[in-house]
Amino acid sequence: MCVEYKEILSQNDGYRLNVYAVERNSRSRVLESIDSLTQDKKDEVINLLQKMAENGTEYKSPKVKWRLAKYSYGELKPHGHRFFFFVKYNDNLIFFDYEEKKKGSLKSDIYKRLQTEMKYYEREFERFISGNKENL
Amino acid sequence: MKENSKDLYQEIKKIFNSEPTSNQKAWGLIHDFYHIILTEMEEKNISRSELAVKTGKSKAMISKLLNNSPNISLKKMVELADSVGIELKITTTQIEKSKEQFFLKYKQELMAHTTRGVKVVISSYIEDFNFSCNEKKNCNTIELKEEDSAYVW
Repeated sequence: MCVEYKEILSQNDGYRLNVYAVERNSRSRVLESIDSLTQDKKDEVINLLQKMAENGTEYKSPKVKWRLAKYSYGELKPHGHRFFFFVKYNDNLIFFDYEEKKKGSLKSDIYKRLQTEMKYYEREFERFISGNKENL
Repeated sequence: MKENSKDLYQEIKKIFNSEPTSNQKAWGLIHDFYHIILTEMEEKNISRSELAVKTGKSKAMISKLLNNSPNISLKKMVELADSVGIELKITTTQIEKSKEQFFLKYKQELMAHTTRGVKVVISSYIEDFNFSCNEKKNCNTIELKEEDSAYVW
């Protein structure tokens, strides 16, 4: 599996955190999901991501859980049935997956699977960062 | 969905780098509002139930307001703000900029006149600026001592 980290927002542009979207085998569920939103919802998500990047974990929103109770990743839920998942790694926010559910909340199996996924993406990100440092 | 992920990434990156649209600015204000309310609630230890009592609304209504009410009305914003003890006001970047200019002018004037025991009268500035709130009551005249100047700004 080929994993890449696409930088959406950067500290170089004055943000407190860098924001990345995971791309797996040349496809990013996160970016594709943002792209598939209606213009209004897209604007909302874009602004929420900017607020998170600007303010870091001090930013409070009913739509952002910086860390879920039983897991080591967070959730951005702009609407009842849309879920973006991220992990904070030092000064980086890595959006690694997206889920959708028509009604109610997601099943715990999904959250458990995401926890495993998150660990994998975190490890890969460490390599990505160290690779970038070597290239500098 | 875009067929080419590179194009999609470039397109999304371009949106983030562009000047915000009116709709994005509106979302920004709504998000700032909730950030302020939630921060106040946390600092003052106000629960959602207490907020319901303070606003005279049901818990379900408060949950709705705090969870999925993107088009919250200005009236509801003021009600929520009141109930956590903060005052909302509308301002503009232009007003804030002219306030800054006012304070800069005021600061220069204060620094120029700050000698031991000099009474600095700033009421004319305040009138010029049509300055409101407590500053007007409290700052018509200020007695400054030399050593105070370091603490003023």
